[in-house]
Amino acid sequence: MDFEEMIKDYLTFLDECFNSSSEVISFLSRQLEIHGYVNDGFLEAVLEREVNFPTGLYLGDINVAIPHTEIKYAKKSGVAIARLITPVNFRRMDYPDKEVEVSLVFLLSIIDPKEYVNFLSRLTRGFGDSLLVRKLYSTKSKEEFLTILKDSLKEKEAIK
Amino acid sequence: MRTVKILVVCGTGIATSTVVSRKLEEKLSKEGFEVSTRQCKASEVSANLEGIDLIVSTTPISGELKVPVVRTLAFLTGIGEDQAIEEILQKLRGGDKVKKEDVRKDNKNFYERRNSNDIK
Repeated sequence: MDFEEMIKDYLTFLDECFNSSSEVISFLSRQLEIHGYVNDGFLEAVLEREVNFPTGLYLGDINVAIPHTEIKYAKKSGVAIARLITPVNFRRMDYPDKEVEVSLVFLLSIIDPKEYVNFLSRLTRGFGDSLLVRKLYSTKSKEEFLTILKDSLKEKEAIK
Repeated sequence: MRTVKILVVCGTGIATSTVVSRKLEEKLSKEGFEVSTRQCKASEVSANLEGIDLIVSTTPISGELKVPVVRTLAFLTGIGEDQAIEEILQKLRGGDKVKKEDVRKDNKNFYERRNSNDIK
């Protein structure tokens, strides 16, 4: 699958306000549900995984989270994205006893294991590029946000 | 040359550990190592240790292990990759002489270094 196809205007929410990580995840999960991306039980599975294996990634000043679960809960491949005005705390993947203030949340729904690996690989490699993360964080237009993100997924495809 | 066997661990043992495995194989082959990786979830580490030289994990692993562990997100995010490779090489060559606390300190240093670069 073309990874750019997974990034959708209607699944991207910029400058939203939430009180907690579960609130963001619930909101994004509902969006995936509305658009027919996920099966019943997806939200519960993601939240449960987050308890046992949190997905907050500490990158520096702008941090991200990549909540996800097993492929059996996905009907279509896609990613619901929220950019938060006020960061919410996620627990860290590497040090779950620590929290990290997250501004960008990517909730993944993926149907194929191979695709899972490739997409996750592209997406997370982008996180190592602090300039890219900064751009995603600060751009005002949603169109530009989507273009930057899609480009980042595409560029890496060309390199690999 | 002997193949280095690395167990790559993440929460569910599916996607994240595979991303890390690929990157690790690429990086270590550049360092002249022949690498073979196996993936598993954090809860199944003890059942997968046979023949393993080193564990690289994105998440904490409970219990006492005889195999050295490197806990890092560097091969997922690309941040602190060189330092993580250094740590892995050190453990592969000299055994597990580094304490967990030191690893934490190292990790902290990577981020601090990175942040100070960002400010420039």
